[in-house]
Amino acid sequence: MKYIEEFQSPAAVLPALELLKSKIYKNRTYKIMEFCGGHTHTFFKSGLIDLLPPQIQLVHGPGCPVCVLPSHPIENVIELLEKNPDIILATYADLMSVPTKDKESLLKAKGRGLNIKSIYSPIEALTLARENPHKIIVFLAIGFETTIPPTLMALEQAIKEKLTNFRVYCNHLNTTMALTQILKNEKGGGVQIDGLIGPGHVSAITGSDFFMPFSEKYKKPIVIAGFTAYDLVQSLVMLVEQINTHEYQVGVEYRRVVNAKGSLLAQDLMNKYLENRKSFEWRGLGEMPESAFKLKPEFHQWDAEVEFDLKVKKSQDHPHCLCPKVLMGAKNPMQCKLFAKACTPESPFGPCMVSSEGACSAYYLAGRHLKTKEIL
Amino acid sequence: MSQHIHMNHGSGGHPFEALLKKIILPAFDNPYLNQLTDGALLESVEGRLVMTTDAHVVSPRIFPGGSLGKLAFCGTVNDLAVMGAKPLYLSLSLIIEEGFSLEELKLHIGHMAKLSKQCSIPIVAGDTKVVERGKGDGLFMTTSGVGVIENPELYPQPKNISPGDMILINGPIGNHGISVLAARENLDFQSEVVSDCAPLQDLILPLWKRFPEIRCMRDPTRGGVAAVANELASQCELEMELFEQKIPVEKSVRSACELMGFDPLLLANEGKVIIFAPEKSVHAILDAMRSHELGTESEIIGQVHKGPRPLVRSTTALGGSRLIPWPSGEQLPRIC
Repeated sequence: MKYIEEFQSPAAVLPALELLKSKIYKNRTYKIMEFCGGHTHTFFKSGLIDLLPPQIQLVHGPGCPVCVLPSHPIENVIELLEKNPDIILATYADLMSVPTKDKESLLKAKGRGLNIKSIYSPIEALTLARENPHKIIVFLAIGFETTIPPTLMALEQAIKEKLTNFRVYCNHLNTTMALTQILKNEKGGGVQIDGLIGPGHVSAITGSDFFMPFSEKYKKPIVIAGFTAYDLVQSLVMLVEQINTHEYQVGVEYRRVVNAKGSLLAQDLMNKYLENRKSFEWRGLGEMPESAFKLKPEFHQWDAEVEFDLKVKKSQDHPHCLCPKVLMGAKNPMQCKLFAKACTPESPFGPCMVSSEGACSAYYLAGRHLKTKEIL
Repeated sequence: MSQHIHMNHGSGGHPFEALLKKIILPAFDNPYLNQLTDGALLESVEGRLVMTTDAHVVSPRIFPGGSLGKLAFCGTVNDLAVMGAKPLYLSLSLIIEEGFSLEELKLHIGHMAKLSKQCSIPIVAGDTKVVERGKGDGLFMTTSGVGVIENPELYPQPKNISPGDMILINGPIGNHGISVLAARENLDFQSEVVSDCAPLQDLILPLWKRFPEIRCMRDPTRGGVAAVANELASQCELEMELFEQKIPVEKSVRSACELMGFDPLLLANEGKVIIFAPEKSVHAILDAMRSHELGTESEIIGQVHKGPRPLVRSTTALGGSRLIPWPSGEQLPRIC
């Protein structure tokens, strides 16, 4: 809490902003992608976005785990629950409102009477398994490296307790591939960036060294940042310094949480239980090799995907929904026809409006759609 | 008497009578209820009557600083008080699920009865229904209340709100929301936050009497300050500006919000009142609020403007501005 209050206060942020302004070359722009949706929201919620020097151009990245999840896992589980009343699905509350192409969602399916529980932690799925020995509990596991350790700890506990009615439907994603894709796409006419604000919480698991090959291969500076306004300004200072001197290194602004090697315990768990999928389709970023995880074959008995033959399908989004392009940083939410008209947090068309980390939701909550009309 | 509610407790026979005579009547003991007639015969009153009703469900039913019984009392009393009405009588209807613990029922009735005596607002009528196991979530408590406005011509209402009015609140927000959330068994999250659940008529009514220029009052319960501000902005077609730095939030609530990714403005309160008042008397009102034990941490948290469009915005500590949206469903903890 100490860091949160101090690091959000004008006393910390405003001098850092002055420092940033002093480092900026006036005659150029700095295109910087903030990878994490959490960072996007801090820029908007704190009002920092309006205070940045005009040379800084932010490009919002795909770091919102709910946003980049394709819709087939949601469609698959709804279909599964309809066929099989002995299954209870447990998943993060964040996923409940995400719409499929037909504007179906887990929340609506639950309303129709399907067995769906929204949970805050995978440990609750274990409790469900203990309390309902005659039902099968499927935990729909989603998220980046950040949410993988809790999933695997729950699985490990289930194995230990012989909770044979517990299953994991693993849809965890591998952040690094998204990074690669963005940086690689640049050459193919994708969004151009000068530097990247790296993911804070993911890096706590992977360690900062993990990003060094990317920085080197694509010659881009990466600075891993915390989630307060001060953290973000400070990380921009570090990026601008590198960009000015044509350096490209991995910097860590978030030293109070991130170290070079990350969490070895979490990495051991991942190595024990998970392997890379050959390929996986992300919403927005498309099909990418080795961009997601699945359970290793020796844990098939716990794997819902194997037991119920849940197939990876081609996802279809609403034709006018710009989420895919927003996630790539190629468009901003204001450029979407649906934004703040048909698509609002109450009635979302795409995941970027649903998740608390989505760029559309950040723009909406900041009142960007009103700002153009000079209301805010 | 068995230790759990069974279907016969709702059937009007002996078990019900035992419930009534051993638990309900002794707890609420007052001449109106004791008549045991189909309707309570009340005193004549002068003034304009205000009536309200509120169904209460909460999970868990017991949380730091309160319980369903306490909530069901405060909710209805506060709804009357913010209308400028002195709460006179309450009714209570219970929907109890078969198998519900009698001990716990006594606890909720006890909490309500204690407040009813403290505030001299009797529970004058009631009803009990028992539903089969699985057809209710333990216990639902619905209270209705009648209150009186002494001056029939003058009462606080949204249409009185005018551009330039200031917005006040009687203390830190979000405690109730966080205390209930933290008390949920399934949430691996501990906090010391205590619900603010309290009857507010002792704070509100003298204030209203002394400052009849107060435009409007609301209790920011479900949906929090954000819901009240949006509701009134839209009803009055005015813009509400909130001063983010001035909104009192306890450190522990702020920590919980940071951790879970919640916005305190959207969290429920059960002992807070938002007051809209003309700018010229706002400081006198603030002083009066602060001198009451339920308002020691009162603050001026915003101002009403004649905006081009009804909305709620907040000025951030850094000097930026953000839109405060209508709450859409329950707040979700972030997973990243």
